[in-house]
Amino acid sequence: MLKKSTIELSLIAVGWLIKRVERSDRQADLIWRENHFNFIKMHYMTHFASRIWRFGSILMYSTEIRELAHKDQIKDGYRRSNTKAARQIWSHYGRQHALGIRLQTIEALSKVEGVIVVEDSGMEMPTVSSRSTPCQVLKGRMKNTSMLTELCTALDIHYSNMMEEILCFIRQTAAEDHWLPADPAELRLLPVEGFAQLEIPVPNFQETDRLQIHRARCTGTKAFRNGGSRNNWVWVQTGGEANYGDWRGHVVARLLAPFKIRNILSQAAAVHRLALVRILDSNNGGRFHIPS
Amino acid sequence: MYETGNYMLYREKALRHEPAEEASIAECWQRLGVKIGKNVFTGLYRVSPADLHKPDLLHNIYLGLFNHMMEWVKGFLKKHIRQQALDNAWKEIPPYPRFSVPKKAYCQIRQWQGKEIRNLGRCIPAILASALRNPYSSQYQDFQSALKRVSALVDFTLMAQYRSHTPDTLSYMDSYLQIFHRTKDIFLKFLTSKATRTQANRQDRELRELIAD
Repeated sequence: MLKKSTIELSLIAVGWLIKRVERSDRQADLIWRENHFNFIKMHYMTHFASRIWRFGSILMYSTEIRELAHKDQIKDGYRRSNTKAARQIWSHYGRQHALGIRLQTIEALSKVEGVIVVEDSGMEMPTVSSRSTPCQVLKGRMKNTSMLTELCTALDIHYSNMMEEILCFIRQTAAEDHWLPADPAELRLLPVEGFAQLEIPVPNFQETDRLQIHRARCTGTKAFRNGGSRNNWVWVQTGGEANYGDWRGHVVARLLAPFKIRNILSQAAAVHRLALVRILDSNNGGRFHIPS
Repeated sequence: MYETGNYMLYREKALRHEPAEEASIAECWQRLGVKIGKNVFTGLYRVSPADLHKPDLLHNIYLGLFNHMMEWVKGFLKKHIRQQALDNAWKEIPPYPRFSVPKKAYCQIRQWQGKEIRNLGRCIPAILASALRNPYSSQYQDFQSALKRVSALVDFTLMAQYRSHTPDTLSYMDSYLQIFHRTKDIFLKFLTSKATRTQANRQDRELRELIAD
C-alpha cells in the first residue's frame, strides 16, 4: 500500500510530465509553422530555365572562371614580385601569356616548314626532332634464354609446337637470301632473346601527333605483381587491308612469347623480331552480321 | 511551387500596379517571399535591376544550394542515426577520372571549396543511398522520399551545367524542380533559421516560467 505522500508526489510528477510534453509539442509546432523554403537561393533556381532561354548556357557566366583567373593573373604575380611594385604584378601575367603564345607559334611554324628561318641572319636552321620515329619496342629481357629450347622451357610451351609454327611462318613469307633457315636442326642453334613486354605506340584520338604507349605484357607462367600470370590480348593483322571483313583482317590473339632471333648462319646476320600468339577463333569468321 | 518567373512580367506588374495599390501588391509579394524596395540601380537609365542577376553556378548552386541541402541531409541522418553510415560510404569512394577522392571524413570538413563541393554533388545520391540502406519498415517511406528529393536537386544542377540546351532539357530542369517542391516537407523540420530558433527558445522559456509559477 502506498503512502499518501508518495501518491501526491507521483501525481505532481505526472502533471509535470504532461506539461513538459505540451511544451515540446508547442516548440515543434512553432518550428513547423515558421520553417519555409522561401529563401533567395531556392527561389532563384526557378529562373534558371528562362535565363538559359534568353542568355545561353549558365557555364558562360559562372564566376568560377573569373575567380580562378584572379589566382593566375594577380596572386601568382604577387608571389613573384617584391610585393610592393603594383605595376610589376599587373604586367606579370601579360608577359607570361605573350611568351607562351610566342613559343606555341614557333612550335607550330617549325612543324609545318621543317626549318626555322632565323631573323636577320639570313641562314636556315634545320630542326632536329628530339623524338625518333615511333616504333614498337621490346622490353624486359628474360634471363637464361639463349636458344629456342630454353625459351620454350621458360615459358612452358611445347618445343615441337613452337618449331612447327616457326617453320610454317618461314614457308609462308617470301624467301629472301638472309631469311631464316627452314631446317629445324639449324634453327635450333640460332641465338634467341625472350622478352616480357611489348611497347606499342598508339596515336591519341583526334591528336595524331601525340602518342600513348600501350604495354602488352607477357609473363608466361610467372606471376605479375603478386597477381596471376599475365598474357595480354593483342590485335594481330593477318592478311592485308584489302581483306575487307568487319575486322579488316584483324584477329584477337593472346601474346605468348615475343622474342628476337638472330640468323648467324647467313652473312648479314639479321635480327628478326617474332612473337608466338594464340589466335582466338572467331564465330562466323569475325562477321557481325550473317550475309543473306 | 512558384510560377517560373519572367522578369518582364514582374516589371509590367510593378509598373501597372505601383501607383494605384502599392500596399496590396507589396503584401501579395511579401507572401511569396519577395520584398519590394528600391536599390542602387533603381531609376538608372537603360538598367533593369531585375535583369542584373546572372545565374551563377559557383555561388548559387555549389556554395549556396548544396550547403543548404547538406544541412537538411545532416539533420535527417541525425534523426535516423545514420551519420556513421554516411561517413563510412564517404571514405570508400574510389578514384575516377576527373573526380578527386575526398581526403577527410565528411564530418570533419568545415570549409568547402568549389571543386570539392562539385565532387560532392556528383556522388551524394549514391552515398546517401548507401547510407540509408536496409531501412526499417517504418522508415522506408521517409528514406525513399528523401533520396528522391536529393537526386532531383542534383539532377537539376547537373542539367544546369549543360553547355547547350534544347527545349526538352529546359523542361526537364523545371520538372526536377517541381518534383523537389511537391514533397519537400520531408526536409522542412531541419530547416530552422536562427530567428525561428530564438523565437522557439523564447516561447519555451516563457512556458517553463508559467509552469514554475
